[in-house]
Order: sequence, then structure tokens, then C-alpha cells
Amino acid sequence: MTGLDRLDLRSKITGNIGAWIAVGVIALVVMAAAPAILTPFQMRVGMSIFFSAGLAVAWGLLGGYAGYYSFGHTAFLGIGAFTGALLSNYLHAVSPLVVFGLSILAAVAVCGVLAALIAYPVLRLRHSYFAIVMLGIAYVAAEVINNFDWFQGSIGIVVPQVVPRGMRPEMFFYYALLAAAAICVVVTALLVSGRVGYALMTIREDEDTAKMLGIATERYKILAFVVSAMLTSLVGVVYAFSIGFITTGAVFRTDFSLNMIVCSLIGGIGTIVGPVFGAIILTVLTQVVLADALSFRLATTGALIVIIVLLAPSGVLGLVRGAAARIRQ
Amino acid sequence: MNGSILTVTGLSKSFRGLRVINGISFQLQPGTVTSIIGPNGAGKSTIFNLITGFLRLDAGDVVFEGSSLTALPTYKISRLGIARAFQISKPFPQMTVFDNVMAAALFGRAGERDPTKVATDAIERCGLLAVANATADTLTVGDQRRLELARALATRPRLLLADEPCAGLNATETKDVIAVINTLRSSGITVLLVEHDMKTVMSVSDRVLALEAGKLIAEGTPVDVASDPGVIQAYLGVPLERSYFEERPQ
Ligand SMILES: Nc1ncnc2c1ncn2[C@@H]1O[C@H](COP(=O)(O)OP(=O)(O)O)[C@@H](O)[C@H]1O
Ligand SMILES: [Mg+2]
Repeated sequence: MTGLDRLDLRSKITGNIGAWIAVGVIALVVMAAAPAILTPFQMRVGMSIFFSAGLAVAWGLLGGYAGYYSFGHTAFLGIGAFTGALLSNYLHAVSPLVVFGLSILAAVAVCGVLAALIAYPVLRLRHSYFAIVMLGIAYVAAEVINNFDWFQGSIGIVVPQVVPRGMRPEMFFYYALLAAAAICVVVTALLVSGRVGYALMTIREDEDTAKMLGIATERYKILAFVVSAMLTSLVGVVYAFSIGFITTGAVFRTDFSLNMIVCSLIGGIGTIVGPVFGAIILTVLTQVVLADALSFRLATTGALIVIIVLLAPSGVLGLVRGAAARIRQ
Repeated sequence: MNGSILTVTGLSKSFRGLRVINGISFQLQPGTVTSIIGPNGAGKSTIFNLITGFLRLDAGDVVFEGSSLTALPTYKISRLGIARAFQISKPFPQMTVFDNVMAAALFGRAGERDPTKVATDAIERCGLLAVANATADTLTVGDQRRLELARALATRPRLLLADEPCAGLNATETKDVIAVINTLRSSGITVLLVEHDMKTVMSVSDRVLALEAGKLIAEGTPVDVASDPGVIQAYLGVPLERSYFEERPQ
């Protein structure tokens, strides 16, 4: 074999990192500048996209990379939202931005600890058992918050206004949600682009074989679970501040859990751009194209799932890659 | 002998009251190839499962380079330097050949390494350069076997457990795999091999363990074991032709 053959050996996983960083930076700059020309409606669509994309990427760290499909990730969204809402009501003395920052930190920390506590037992379950148990956990968490008066889940809780004076709320939360989504993307990318990424993918592919390669699978699964929960709660707490008033029903929503999965499936599971694409496609379709046909949204989401699973099991990204490969040949 | 790299003593395992491994003891000397022969269901794969921590033993001890493996989880056993090529190839299907092997190179035996170099070497040694960027699920059976071996190799093992690495391969492919095993031995890796084809066993092994119904019925050089009356009775059926012994390269 020649020297050239050896040089050609390249990881499909870590091979294009430089290009992706460039794409990410450009996308971030464009989206940060966009409010200058966007209408209020388009701003709201943008916020929806950031919300969905952040959640889908966070879900995908565990579901897409490690292959552990959680059907109840809204649990972390809801717990994060309530932690932030409750804490911020005790903190009114300090400046709004400090309240916002501390609430976020608290929400992320609480979800991190809770996830770490349940990680070991729930991650011993595989496949559909894990998925269903997570669904159960989301219901249990919602019930607890709904039924203990201290949480004010059933009557609802007002989340203090944290927007700095002189700034339009939608402008503030556009950037807050953009930042939250960007953090989800960056943290996930940092984690999966090295050894951890390999470990998670081997767990998804064949957990027992992974162990035989010296991979401490339990540890990596727990890491992915905890970080995924923390990122989900980050998006959740920012969302809570953006809507200003939350009830159990507003943040523990099975359709949120479902959307994280659907975005990943549509875009391409086991990647980072996939869920982001998925969030864009799903949001634009349901909020722009079908904006006047509210009752069709859920049906459309359902139809999309069926179409994707049947026709493009590796998502839009898979279609693009397949087409690119065909063109190159 | 005391210089052994792996010492198995009184290994026993039952499944639902049925004794599948029955007090097996043997030692492996560093840098040798030892083959386990025996009919289907004799317990060969179970021995591998016990050594690698996939199954917990009922009684006995497995000591690798001075440390007992019996209470260790599989990943720690791998980090000590034991690799395994499974009887049924288990490549990570959606990952490329390179990334399959790279995963092993990034983990595996503890210690300093250059993962890319380790992975590239393993791929080259197992003749997989041409398909290095192909997704594992597109490989032929022969290439999947080679990948299984390359991945095990990339963990930089001191001991390789290869469970029927030639099963389902044609004569040429078998020769390739045996050549890889021979180069492993010459680079100092100890090999424990499960192999059915006696011709291959005779040509590649320094020692042979004959297993029947969970018991060791013979142990020794290939010539000794192949001419053991008990082995002939239980496994070979007919005495081996002399030519098998003479083909063995020295
Ligand atoms: N996990 C298991 N549970 C129950 N029985 C098993 C298990 N693994 C192996 N056995 C039984 O143990 C015996 C030995 O199997 P195995 O070690 O795979 O044989 P070999 O590799 O020599 O063909 C067989 O009878 C098999 O059915
Ligand atoms: Mg077997």
C-alpha cells in the first residue's frame, strides 16, 4: 500500500470538525443579526425554532448518540421551568438579570442532580423499557408538582419579568433562546467529537461489544443522560421566563417530548445538524405553512413521522448525504 | 509453570443446574498460540465468556498477569490487555471500518498510544485498507471477520481470545486469518484460539486443549492431543493422517 492510502484513512465522525465549526459560527452570526430585519411574527418563529432545536439536540445527545430514546424528556424541561420560576419569586431584591442567571443555574443544577440520582437504575433498562420508564417519570414529576401546593403547579406561578429596561421582551427572549440553543449545540458537539462520542456511539451500536473494547459504558451513559437533562432544563427555564406564567400543563407536555424525537427523526438521528434541520422544518411547516390550520398541526406532525420512518429512515440529512454520494460517483 | 500469562484453575459454570464447565484448569505461556478444540456445545465459548467477565463463574479462579479477573467488569478486563474476537462478528454496523477500529484504539488496554496510528496499523495488518471508509454493515462475511480481528487488535492486547475466527471463510480467507494470527504471535501477543478445522489447529498451535462436555480430556502439543485415544474417540472419530503433523511449519 502506498503512503497516500494511509493518509486517506479518516474518521467519518471527527473528520469534518473544522468545516462544522465554520458553519456554526456563520449561522450564529446570521441569526444574531437577523432581528434587524425580521418582523415580530418571524421573530416568534425564530424563537420557536431555537426552542425546538435546543431541546432536540439535548435529547439527541442521549437518544441519537447513545441510542437511549427517552419518551419523557419533558420531565427535565418542566422541573427546570418550575425550579427557575419558584426561585425567581424569592429573589426579587436583586437585579432582574441576576435573578435570571441564578434561576438558570439553579434549574440546571437541580436537573443535573435529579438526573444523576435516577440515572443508574433507569439506564440499566434498554430499548423500549427505558423509553417507557422515562415517560412514566415525566408523568410522576408532573403529578408531584401538580399536587403539592408548595409548587403551585395546578394554580400556576407567575415568573417575574427579567427583561432589562428599554429592551423589547421578544428581542430579549429571541437572544436568550438563541443562546440556550447555541449552548446545547456547543456542549453536545464538544462532548461527541472526541472519545466520549465514540463511547456513546458504540453503546448505541452494541453495548456488550463496547465493554469488550474497554469502554466503561455505564459511566458514559450516565454522563450523556445527566448532560442531556441539564441542557433540556436550560431550554426549559428560559422558556418559562419567556412565557411569564407557567402551570404543570404548560411545561410537562408529552408533545414536547415527542417533538424532540420527531425533530431528530426528520433531520437525521445521531447527528447535531440533523435535529437542528428537523426543528427548522417542523417549525416552519406547522407555524408558517399551516399557520391558519391550527387543527392540522398535530396531524401534520404525525404524518411527517410516518413519511420519514417509511421513506427516509436516516432523515433529511441521510437523503442529502445519499444524493451527494450519488453525484460524486 | 510460573511464567504463565493466564492461569485458569477449577473453572466451573452451570446454567439452570446443568454443569457446562466442569472444573477446568490450564495455563497459557506468553507468546504462544493455544487452541481449544471440542465438539459444538462443549463449552468453548462459555470459557471465553467467563474469562472476559460476560458471565460470572460459579467456582474457580482466572488470574491474568498476577491479577484475578473473577470480580472485574468486562471493560476493566479489556483495560488489563485481554481482547476478544467474537464467534459471531459484531461490528458496529453504522460506523465505518476505520471508526470501528478507532473506537477500540481510543480505549482498550490502558497506557499511552497514538490512536490513529494504532487503528491504521490494525487495519493494515488485517488487510482492510481498501474498505477502511466503508460502513461496516456493507462488508462481506470475510471482511467482517477481519474487522472483528482488527478491532480486537487495536485494543493493543497482551492476550487475544479468538472464537472461531475462520468460521464461514473459504480456504484463502482462512489462510489470511491464520497469517494474521501468526504475525500476532511473532509480535509477542498470546493467543487462545477456538478452531474446528484440525488442519488449521495443527499448523498454528503450540499447544492444544481438548474439551468435551465441559471437561478437559487432553492437553499438550498438537501431536500429543491429536493422537490421544480419548480425543480420537470423542472428537476426531478417526485418527489423523500423518501429513497433518508434517505440514506444521517450524
Ligand atoms: N447463557 C447461556 N444460558 C444457558 N445455556 C448456555 C448459555 N451459554 C451457553 N449455554 C450452553 O452451554 C453449553 C456450551 O455452550 P458453548 O460454550 O457456546 O459451546 P461451544 O462454544 O463449545 O460450541 C451449550 O450446551 C449451551 O447451550
Ligand atoms: Mg462457540
